[in-house]
Amino acid sequence: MSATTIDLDTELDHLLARPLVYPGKGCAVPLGAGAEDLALHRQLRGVPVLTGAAFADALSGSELTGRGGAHVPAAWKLTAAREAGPGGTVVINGAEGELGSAKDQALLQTRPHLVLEGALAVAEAIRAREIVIWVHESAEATRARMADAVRERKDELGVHVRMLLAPEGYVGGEASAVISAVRGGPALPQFSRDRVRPWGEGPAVLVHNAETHARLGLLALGGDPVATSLVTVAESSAPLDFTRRTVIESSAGMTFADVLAVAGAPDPQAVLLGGMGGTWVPWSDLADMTVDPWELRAQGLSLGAGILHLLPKGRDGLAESGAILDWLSEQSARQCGPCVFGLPALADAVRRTARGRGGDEARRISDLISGRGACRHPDGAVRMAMSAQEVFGS
Amino acid sequence: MRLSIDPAACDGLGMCAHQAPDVIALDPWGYPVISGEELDGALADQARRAIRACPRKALYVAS
Repeated sequence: MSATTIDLDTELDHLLARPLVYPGKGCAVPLGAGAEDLALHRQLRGVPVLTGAAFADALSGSELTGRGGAHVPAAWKLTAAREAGPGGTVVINGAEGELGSAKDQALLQTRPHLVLEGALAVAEAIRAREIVIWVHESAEATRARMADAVRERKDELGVHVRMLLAPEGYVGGEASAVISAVRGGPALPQFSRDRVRPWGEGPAVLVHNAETHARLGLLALGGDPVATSLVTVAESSAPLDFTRRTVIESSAGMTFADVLAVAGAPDPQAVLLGGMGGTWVPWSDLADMTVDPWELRAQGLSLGAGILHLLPKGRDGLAESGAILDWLSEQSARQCGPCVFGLPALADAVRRTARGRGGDEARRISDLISGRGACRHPDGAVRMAMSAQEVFGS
Repeated sequence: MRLSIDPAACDGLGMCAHQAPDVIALDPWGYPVISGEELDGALADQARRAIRACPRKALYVAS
């Protein structure tokens, strides 16, 4: 675990010093990706300058949104959690369920103290009782590095920190599933009758993914939490057979073409932007756009969980989308009828479109299942399927 | 009143659609579909019957 590869000119508006290249799957740490220890973290970024109410005020004045996919303003969650009273839980969600994503594990592995800094600032602001680190059981390297970081701080933590192991799979990283697990229940999405306080009554269970916590850490340290965006460029040799994931931090003004140049990836025909439940965008439309959540929103697009899933030239986008829908069906928590029955039907319809029929049926099924799950899993599948019809359907 | 469904609690038994045929439709797999619109009069009565009829307690009045 060498720290020699870390550039010493890291500023307070950046998360990573350089791109990190991961193989297609797994959490093995790339060669040369050293974890910052506490001393180096302090040397680079100093100590927190904003705590408690001052931190909450600064967050309200920032444009930071959650980077797990839904992009809910982080200030809303903090305000609701502060109002819920002391004794709550702050969760670092490191259960990256998206195939092809690696940005959260990159941060947990190489910037563990920056992630902890954010969680500690939030914990103090909401007077939380504990911090829970939610990571996949299989993510051994990530777990080891977070455990090391927590151990380094054990004499200065004002809050209990524990690690909780997430089941494999996609919906285990969904916030309501995490809340359920933190409370000792099953790691399954829960239907919330109150959208503002997904934890229900009592002290908050405030969930942010690792990137959001790292950005909250930058804010607490006096930096700019939204100067950059983290993306994972995911390349595959066949549908869902990923070969390389490159985690890149895009700074202001960088276009998607610039990002792919950094990744060394050839121009694709289209990009599935955001994750498996994201939106297909033709490369000709995306190449010159800047990687900016706000600018993308103006175009009706979202960076989602930050994944750029590349569809190489010559591959069939509808067949690819059918395979993704099959995968999403398998990832269903199998709690809600519209998801259990609707997603396989949608996958079939999209595949039939690839053979020249089924487009209308895909649209009909999409209308039928949209918004009818306890979580947003089916909605993401519908969004992806509809964009596939638009981009690849003739 | 406004009717809501907890989709994770619903098992698609279909009792609700029998009690509230003008409020609840069933999808091709037997799960309830509602409009979410404000209901009153006879429609609200149907919705209340459906709430009582659901063995899974999956229907409720949205606040």
